[in-house]
Amino acid sequence: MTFDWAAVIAALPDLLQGLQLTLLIALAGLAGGIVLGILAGVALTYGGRLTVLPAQLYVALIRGTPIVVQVMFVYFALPIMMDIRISGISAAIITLVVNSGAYNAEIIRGALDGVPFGLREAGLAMGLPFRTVLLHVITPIAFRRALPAMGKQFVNLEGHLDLSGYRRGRTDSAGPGNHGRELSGGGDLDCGGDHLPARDQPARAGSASA
Amino acid sequence: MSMIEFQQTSKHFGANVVLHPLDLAIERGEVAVIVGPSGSGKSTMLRCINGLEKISGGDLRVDNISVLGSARDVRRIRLEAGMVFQQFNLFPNLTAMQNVMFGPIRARRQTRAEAREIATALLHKVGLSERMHHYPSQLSGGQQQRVAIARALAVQPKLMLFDEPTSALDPELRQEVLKVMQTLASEGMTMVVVTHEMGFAQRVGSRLLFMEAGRMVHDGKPVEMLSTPPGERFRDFLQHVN
Repeated sequence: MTFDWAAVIAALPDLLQGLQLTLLIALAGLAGGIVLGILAGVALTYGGRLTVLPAQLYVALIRGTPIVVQVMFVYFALPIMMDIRISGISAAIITLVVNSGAYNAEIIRGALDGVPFGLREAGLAMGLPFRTVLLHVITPIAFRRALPAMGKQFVNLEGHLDLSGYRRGRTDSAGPGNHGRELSGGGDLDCGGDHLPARDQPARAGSASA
Repeated sequence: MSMIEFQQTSKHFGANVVLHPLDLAIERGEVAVIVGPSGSGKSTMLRCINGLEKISGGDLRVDNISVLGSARDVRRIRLEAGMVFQQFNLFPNLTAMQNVMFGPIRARRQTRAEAREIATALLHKVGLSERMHHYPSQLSGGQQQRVAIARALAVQPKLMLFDEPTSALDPELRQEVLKVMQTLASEGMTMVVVTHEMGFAQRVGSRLLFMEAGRMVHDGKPVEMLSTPPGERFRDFLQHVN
């Protein structure tokens, strides 16, 4: 069996298009996950009962269920429950935002908790409102503490990008047609690395060029 | 009018009474030194003054603003009452200079140029002109505490609260901090100092208060109280400190 380089080159435009999609989903998931993580993390650390409980519930629920189940829920169950249409890409992004948000929340809670209490008091004792203390005293220190774990969380998120590939398998037989097709670019690109046995790749690339 | 007025002020944590109803007035320009065994409520009493602890009963007024007022009132009190902590609590990610500039910029909304001017003058005053661009971790305990004093002064407070400012320091480093505090007192700053430094109380204090088990037991002139201790418990205490 010889390796068909021509097929690889012919597939490059498709792959690049897929890469674009991958990056879009990854960056959107990352940005949204950070925003949601900060909100939930701050609520976990400083919130009153009214904000702590929902945040704890959210974090426990998301960290306690597989991401595959979550994406299935967003793509199949949510549209039926709320009578809306969700495109494959949106479903992937929503899932990544909600999922990484929960993990980020715990990282941020840990980082905020790790800032010595005395610094907060020193800020308050100057007559600053708590939000200023949080923003200008606690955050700069917590940020450095959170960075390594957040970096790892991003790698995790990147590894989850293949979850759009699961949908393709479904949609081929049962699914909402076009969305599945559209997604297969992004899904397959990453699936190639993570899910499919390596030897399948040339064959698939070959069939794409055929 | 008094600078600080305790009016039947009390404080308890759950069933644990830390401060029994207390009436006390501290006047402008006074240097009130509070001593007493640990757990007697000295620190709690001090932290009630700037609202770091909420009082449980009575009233407490600082420059005629009640600590029971709105969040804004409490912030006004804190702007007027600088605080120095036992553990310094300097911002570790900022240099000495930036630590001192922080209050003017964030709390007094002054420009960076104004803040720099204030900080330079204050760091000079506490004898740290040479070290203004060092981070707290690069400074000795005594130097850190002097930066902390400068940081509190930079907000231009009318009174200063010291919570055991020398307790975390080696004996030889204490003196440099006490000297700065003495200078401050001689300039007429109103000060409330929780400490175990009897020498400081005698040299600098205008008033000595002895607390025990949440009660203000003795209140008098430091020199008289130290030469003729007014009670047996206070005499015991002095023997244990010295």
